[in-house]
Amino acid sequence: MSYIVLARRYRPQNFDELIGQSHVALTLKNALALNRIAHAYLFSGPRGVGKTSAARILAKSLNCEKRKDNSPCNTCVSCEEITKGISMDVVEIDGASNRGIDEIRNLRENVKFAPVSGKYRIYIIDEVHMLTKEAFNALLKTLEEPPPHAIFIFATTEPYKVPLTIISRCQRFDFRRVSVNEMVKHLQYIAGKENIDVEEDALYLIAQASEGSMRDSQSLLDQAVSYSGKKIAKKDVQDFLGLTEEKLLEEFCEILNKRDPSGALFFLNRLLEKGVDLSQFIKTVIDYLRHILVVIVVPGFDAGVLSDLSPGQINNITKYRDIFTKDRLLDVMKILNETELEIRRSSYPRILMEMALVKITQDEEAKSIEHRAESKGQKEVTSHTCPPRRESPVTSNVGAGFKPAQNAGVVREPPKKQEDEQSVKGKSRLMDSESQVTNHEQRDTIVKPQSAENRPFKFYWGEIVRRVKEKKVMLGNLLEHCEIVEEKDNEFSLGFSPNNKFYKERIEENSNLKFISVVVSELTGKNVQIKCIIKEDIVKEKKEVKKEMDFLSERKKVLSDPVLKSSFDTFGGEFVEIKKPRIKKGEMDE
Amino acid sequence: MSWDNVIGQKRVIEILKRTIENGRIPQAYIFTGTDGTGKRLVAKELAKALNCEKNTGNACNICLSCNKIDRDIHPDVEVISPAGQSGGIKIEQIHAIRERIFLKPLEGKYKFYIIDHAEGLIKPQEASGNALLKLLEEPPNDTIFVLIPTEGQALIPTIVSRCQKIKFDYLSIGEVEKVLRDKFFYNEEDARLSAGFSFGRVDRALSFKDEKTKIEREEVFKNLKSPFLKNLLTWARELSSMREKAIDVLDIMILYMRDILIYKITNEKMFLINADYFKEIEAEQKDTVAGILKKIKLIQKTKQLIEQNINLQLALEVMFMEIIENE
Repeated sequence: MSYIVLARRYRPQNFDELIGQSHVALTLKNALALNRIAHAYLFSGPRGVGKTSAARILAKSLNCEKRKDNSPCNTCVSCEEITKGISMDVVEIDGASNRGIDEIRNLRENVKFAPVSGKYRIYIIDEVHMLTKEAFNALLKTLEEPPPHAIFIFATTEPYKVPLTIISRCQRFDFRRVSVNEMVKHLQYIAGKENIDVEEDALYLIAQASEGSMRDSQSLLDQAVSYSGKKIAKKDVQDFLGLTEEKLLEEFCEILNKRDPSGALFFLNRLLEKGVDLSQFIKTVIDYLRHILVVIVVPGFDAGVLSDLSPGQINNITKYRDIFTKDRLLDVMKILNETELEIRRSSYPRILMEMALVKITQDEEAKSIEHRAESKGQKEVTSHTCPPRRESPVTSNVGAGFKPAQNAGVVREPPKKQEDEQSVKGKSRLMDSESQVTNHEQRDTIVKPQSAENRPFKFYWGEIVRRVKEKKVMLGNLLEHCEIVEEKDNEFSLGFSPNNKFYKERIEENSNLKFISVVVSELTGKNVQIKCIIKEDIVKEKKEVKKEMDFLSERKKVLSDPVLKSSFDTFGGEFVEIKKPRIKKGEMDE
Repeated sequence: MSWDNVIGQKRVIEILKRTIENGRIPQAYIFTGTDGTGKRLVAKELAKALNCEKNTGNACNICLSCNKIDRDIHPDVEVISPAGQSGGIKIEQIHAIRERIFLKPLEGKYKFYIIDHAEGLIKPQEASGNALLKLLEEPPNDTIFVLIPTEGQALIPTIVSRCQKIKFDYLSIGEVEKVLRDKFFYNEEDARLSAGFSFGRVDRALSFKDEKTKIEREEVFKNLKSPFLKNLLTWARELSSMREKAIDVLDIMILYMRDILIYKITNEKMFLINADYFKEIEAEQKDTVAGILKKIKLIQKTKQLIEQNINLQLALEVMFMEIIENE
């Protein structure tokens, strides 16, 4: 019995049959037409995209007796001999097995002999990256100036292992991965030739699984035929590839959506009963979620963005557009991704998966507590470790392409467009009250979840800095060195660390403060007074200490409260902070 | 009948059976998947089926050929395993194949080259992988390669792309149970418990019945039932002289925590791994989900640290203290 696999039977026999490598085919054809044949070629590219095939086609074209259209005729004696691999003039060498210097010396001996029947003697060295260093070097001289009848063609998947001295003596062609669409088209062609009845979706699955390698896709098609005969359905391909059925993915999304940990665990149990490989499953899920993410994120989504998917798959995915949010998907993907990494080096993948499932199906509330605790921790870390900026504001301005003008702080022209009457008024009022800045009232601020209009200035701070930067880069950069430390209804203070006294002085210069307050009023509709303080104020220090003490005693009190204690026990969590409806002036709230 | 000899892997066997029926046998296979799921067994059965004198597409287990393959003395079925240092397959081994590959089979219809621990092909000090490439791509028609890499060890893509890749699934718990009963003559109860412990791998299931594991589990449940720091610290000191055991114990602790978590969420006894300690698990339900997750994470971290060669006693003590603190 001699069955030859599809990949070998459908090896391209002329340039037009090379799929997805038109840039190579065209160049080579033109070279043949113009008779400008280089004496050495290097074909590189991923596995199974046609390097060896292209080398053979080129060899055939060179020696073909009746070349037509710059392609080999495939009928003459020379072509047939090369196809069968018995031509005396085409020497195909397996670089991985004949890698030593002796083999190359042998080759050098033979190069000088004229071809037996054709015009050229062609040496195809496959897997050339495996030659030893000495072998490469022995080849250099021959490669630079070979006899006129000798042509070298090297093929490799790892061109970076080939010495530069070799590469520079060759014409190099990089072969591309074959796109899913091209692959599907070619597979359809093969299926037609072989009388195989195969669903389009099935071909998409095959093409997706073969990662751009034509040979892979053909051997998968082969496998599909072995598996299900001449009629191949999508289900068959899923089966033998061990792919996760879309139904399962949809079920998974449903569980995700319902946040149902118990359901998730039953689901996992079913997966394992089926013998699903978890790491593979996670990869599939991440891929699937990634597609949903693309649908959500890309505005005016159309199928072209996900060109690797079949129309059916795209339809399937778009229905999740309104179910999930971007953040949720990113969260889930992050957890799954970590789990996948852990699973690879763990002896109990099931448990890791169970934990991941519980985590991603936990309800929002439980998660947000956890999250808050985490982000609080992080914040502390960053505020501790963030060193003072290395660049002075001036140099950073230069970097950004601005003149380091002395008077950069001056409002040269007041912001035009958005500045409406209100803010102008605000400005004048501001000037009126400038003298009263120090004399603020001792009023308590109510700290509650803020409504949209009544958010603290702190909330806007990032945006304020951004807007200031848009108009005055210098000032904006200065603002990055401070933060809002105190705020009340219509005023706030910018705190500077003692190191940054210089920045404080610069900001206080000229009408900078006024400019900022204009920006703030644009943003919040409030007229504000701004003052700058050095954070180390003794008063402040005392307050901090007092706050710390208060916090500790409060904490003690809270923890001894039986009701709270039992709720701690029931719901878990840890002590993060105390929020009271009213706090004294000057104390910050998050 | 031979394929029935293999428990589980229905999908894989279906693929192979149909391949034989359709007469489209590829030149090379790669069997991937976790260890302890029957890859070597299936490779052998495939060789038997294809070389069987009865020629039914299934091994008869009676004829000379089947017999010889069963006893590993068939001249056409060759198993190649790493002979080089640190598990590498030597290039000489591949060259030896190259010399014989163009000869006709001696007795059967096909020559089989089963390359076990095929990851040895890509060991950096050996060049065997690349030497095999050309053979794999266009071998003579009566030759079949079966490459069996150990779990998780990737082969180079150029090799993989020349083979039909067949992925072996984890066995389901039921299948492991059946293997244990039929092939290793476990009784019902033992089989069920060991299977629960197996995560779909027969080799793992077999380790469960070891006296060692039994003692370790007893220790874990005794010490964690109502943890006292003093007891735990004593335990930590005991463990500190036995790194291997400490790692095993941490594994078992994770299983135990996991059982508590799963039971809390699903209220389902069938998911439990330590089903024989059901009472203890049922009693330990006061922790919150987040709390248990945290503990598991803690144990995992400790295990990782220990594998990185940290002071064993210290790591265990810190872990136990944190666990107590979270109680």
